[in-house]
Parts: sequence; structure tokens; C-alpha cells
Amino acid sequence: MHNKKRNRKGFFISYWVLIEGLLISIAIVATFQYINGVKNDTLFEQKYFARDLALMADTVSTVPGDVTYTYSDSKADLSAYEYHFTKNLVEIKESGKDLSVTYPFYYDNSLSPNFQSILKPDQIVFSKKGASLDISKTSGKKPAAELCPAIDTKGTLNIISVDSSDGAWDMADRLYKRFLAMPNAGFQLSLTRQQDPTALEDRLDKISGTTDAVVSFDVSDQDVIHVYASKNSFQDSDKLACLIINNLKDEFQSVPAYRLESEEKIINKHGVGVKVVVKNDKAPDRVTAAVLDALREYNG
Amino acid sequence: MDKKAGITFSTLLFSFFRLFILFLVAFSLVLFAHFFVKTKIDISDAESGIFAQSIINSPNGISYKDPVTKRVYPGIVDYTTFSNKAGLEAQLNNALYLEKNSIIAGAIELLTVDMKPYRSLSPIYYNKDYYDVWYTMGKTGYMGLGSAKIREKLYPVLIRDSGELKQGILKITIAIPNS
Repeated sequence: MHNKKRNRKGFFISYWVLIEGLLISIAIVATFQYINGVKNDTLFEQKYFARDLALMADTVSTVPGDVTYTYSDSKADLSAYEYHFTKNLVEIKESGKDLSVTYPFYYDNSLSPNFQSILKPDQIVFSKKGASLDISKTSGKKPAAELCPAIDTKGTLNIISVDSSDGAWDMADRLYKRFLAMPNAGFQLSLTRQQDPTALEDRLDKISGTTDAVVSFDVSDQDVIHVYASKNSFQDSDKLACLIINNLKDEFQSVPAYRLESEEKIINKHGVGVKVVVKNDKAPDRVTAAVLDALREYNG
Repeated sequence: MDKKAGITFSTLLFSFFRLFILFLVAFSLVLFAHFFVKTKIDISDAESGIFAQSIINSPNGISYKDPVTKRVYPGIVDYTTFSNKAGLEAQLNNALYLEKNSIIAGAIELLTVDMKPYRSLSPIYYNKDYYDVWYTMGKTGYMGLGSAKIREKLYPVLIRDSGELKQGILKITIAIPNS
């Protein structure tokens, strides 16, 4: 009888301890969920950029005299968003999303504004010169474009195969997805492989006799852009390589870019072939956009 | 009350006390998280500072601009220009142009060094309609969204009056809504 009572008391105490443990767990989990939610939320970063850029526009537009300021940020990733400067408003949003963050800015109404929509920039240039106020991606000093072979390639690429090394698969995949989203590309595009590693011979077999051009991606550790042109149909390949390198130069202005002749099998076995090698942390969306634009330019 | 009932009661009372402490700890955790994680950005100090500097430095702001060379002299205020209240207000609203201005407003006063209105000049307003509302709300000290923050900035200036340069103070009062 005595033991039974003690057991009941013991049960009562452990019951309370369990409730307490549960409540503490709920509080800890909820707190960490909240912190994690804030950490992953890009809204704060967008608000920060909207305000910072609006203040920058306020400042530059009211400076006595001419000024050019190149805005970049080491604390947050400027290239993660799209920036739309319209009359009195900076609007920031993530690509493909409808939600945007805006913040107003003032400027001298006697100036003639030239505001651009800027997609995923490394920097934003604010410039006031004379009676002109410019907000753009570049300071106007673009790297010199390379001279491309003056040959007629209009409509020559109908089927394009996209190849990649293991490290560059993400780029090929993004290019393919971007291609699928294009309404009228003017050509067909397919991947030589999926995410799983595939032997080069298998990839060559897959595209044998079925493609007009091969675009291959690879990554390196060096911050240099290399675009290789196939030895076969060299002039045609060199023209495509040239168009790609000019687009990449526009996108990554501070990065040295070279176009070379390739010895590689995958791009040499077929007609037109190019290989794009970029540093492994280069923004893949911007690389693929540059390549797709070049393919369209090549086809006229 | 017998002895057993007394023990049960005190055990229960202690359990409630433990529960109270537990809630206190849990609440502190949440409070700490909210205290250290900032999700709001208050730029009113930077915004008011840039606004005041814009008024002083802008070629079409408050500072004297040489009519021939078009050079601006930040820190020198022309009495004749300042006394043309309507003209200067229009000029200022154009120099710091905002189509729908719901973010900032200001009042600019020209004072003597002993902080009296210079020659009894009345203040110049930027975005006057909102200034009146925000200034009134800001002075209530209410911290909520409907209210506003008031910032006062004083700058020593030279007043260009009848060909002479006199010492003066430029007082810029800025009203920024909390929302």
C-alpha cells in the first residue's frame, strides 16, 4: 500500500517533468525556426538594397558638378536580384518572382534621367554629367568587342547539342531550361547527358549524325574565360566562339577572355563546335544567357 | 486540512511555480531572438542627413549660385533669394523632385547667430502639406506607424545680403514618417 502511494507520487512528478520538457522543446524549436526563417528570407536583403540605392540616387543627383560612382557591396550579393529604376522609384525583385520591394528617391527635375533595368549586376554605376543623370550597369567603358569572321551563317544551326563536364552540368541544365522557356528560339536544343556521369564515347555516339553544332561547358579554378572553337569548320565555329566571347565580355567586364582553337574530340567530331570554360563560381544564369544570345545572333 | 492534503497542495503549488518559471524562460528565449534579429531597417538618420546636405549642395537648392558662371557656393545663402518664399519653395521641390512624396518633408529657417529669424524671414518649406501633418504627429512623441520622426540640423552659413557676407545659422527641420 505504502509503495503504491509512492509510485503514484513518482508518476505525478515525472508527468510534470515531461510537460516541462515538451514546453522547453517547443520554445527552442520555435525560436530556431524563426531565426532560420529570417536567415533564409531575402526580403530583408532586398529592403536593404532598395534603401541603399535610393539614398545613393538622392546623393548623386544633388551633387554640385559631375560625378560617377560605382556601387558594389561586399556584405550582400548584389547580383542576386533584378533592379528596375523608374521615375522616383527603385524596384528590386528576384528573377521570375512577382513580389518586389520598392523605395522612392528624389532627383533634380532639371536633369534628364536615363534609368535602366539592371539584371543581376556585379555593380551599378550612378553618373551625373552635365544635365544628364544615368543609372546603369556599366560606366560606358565596355571592353573592346572582338572582330568576328564576316561570314553568312544565317539559319545554319537547326539542331544544337549541349555537352558539359561533370562540374559544369548545372550550366548545361540551366541553358536547356532557359531554351525551353524561349518562345521562338529558331533551333532545337538537346543535352548530351543528364546529371549522372557519362563516358565521352557514349556522348559522342548520342549526337553522331544528329546535330549541326555542339556547345560544351567546362569549369576551371582560374578567373579567366576561355572559348574554344572547333578545328573542323573553323571559321563557322570561330564566329560562334567570337559572338559568345563578346557577350561574356559584356557580362563579366573585368574578367580576361580569350578565344582559342580547340583540340578536343567532342567539339571537333561534328560541324560547328565551341567549348566555354569559366571559373566554377561564375553566375551560371549570366553565362547561359550570353551563350543563348550568341546562338540566336549566329542564326540571324 | 489534514497533513496529506497539505502536502498535495504544496506539491501542486510548487508545480505551478515551476511552470511559471518555465514560461518565463521560454518567453526570454523568444524575446532574445527578437532583440538580436533585426528585420526592420531604420534609415531616418541617414535619410535626413542626405536630405539636409542635398538642400545645401544642390545646384538648384538653397545655396547661392553665381548667375554668370553657374557655380554653386554651398554654405552661402542669398538673402534676396531666400526672401522670395514662393519662388524658392518651387525651386526646392523641383531640385529634390518626388512625384508622390510620402517619405520626407522639411522646413528651412535662416537665423542670426543668436538663433532669431534673420530679418524676420519666415521658413521655406519642402513638401509643406505633409510637413505640417508629420511635424505635428512627430511632436506628440508617439512612436507608432502613424507618427513621424523629427530631426533638427543646424549649419553655420554666410548670408549674402546687400553685397556683404554676414554670419548666420541655417536650421533645417526634417520630418520623416514612421511608416
